[in-house]
Amino acid sequence: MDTTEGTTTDDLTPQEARERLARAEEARERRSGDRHVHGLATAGFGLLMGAYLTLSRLGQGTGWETPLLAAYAGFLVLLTLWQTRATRSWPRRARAVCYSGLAGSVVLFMAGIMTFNYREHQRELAGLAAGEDPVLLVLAGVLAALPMVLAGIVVRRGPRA
Amino acid sequence: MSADGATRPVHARHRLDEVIHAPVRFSIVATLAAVDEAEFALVRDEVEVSDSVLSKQVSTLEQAGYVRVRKGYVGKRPRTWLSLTRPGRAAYDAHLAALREIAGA
Repeated sequence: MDTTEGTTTDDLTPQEARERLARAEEARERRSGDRHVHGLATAGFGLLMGAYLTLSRLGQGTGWETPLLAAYAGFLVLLTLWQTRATRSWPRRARAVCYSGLAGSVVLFMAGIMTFNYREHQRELAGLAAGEDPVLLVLAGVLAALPMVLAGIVVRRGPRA
Repeated sequence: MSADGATRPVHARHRLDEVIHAPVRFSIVATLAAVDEAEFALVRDEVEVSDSVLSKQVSTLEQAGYVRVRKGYVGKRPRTWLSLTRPGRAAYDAHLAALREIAGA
């Protein structure tokens, strides 16, 4: 490639201008691989959070809490390592979309935990021993995962031309 | 301004950015325009230049206020990330607009 700075703005022909515009368009389209990885990783983080919210409640009092937390942390680390090493760029606006999805999932995750804690406390006050409805736990997990899964899809798809 | 006092439209080539216009710098900026941030090595591979040539051109773009350089680590390995600044993105958009005008002329 020519690395000189020889061309001036005065000697640019329409054909050269078209070639440069084509080069700019090519550069924009080459980042689809990184979009794929960031999209999958974002959706994966969301699914992990949702699954952990559901399973940690289902496993309450069974002795599975600690192994589950370790597995959750381990998968988070593995996913982060894969995302960091498999990509060399953040495509345009992908990071903002990922962080928006993360914020949404964290808010719903925390809301889910607070709601289940409140309901558990109410059941204890009423002298009820029954655990949380599994359908509600699954629904909460799906809701918590949703923002990041959607963000992952948006990142994967990229900006519309 | 012409001799009769009327204002003539400025030709698009006068709106081309001198800093971005150089071929290698144009390729660097075009690559960075498609991303929020990219590794130095990625830009080097895309633009097909050596590390030293890229460093020199990035310095010129950095001095113009068009490119931001961030250094960090991935694991224990040092990494350098490049990104366009807001003025850099605006200058590139204006440059592309001028190119489109010239291409359509």
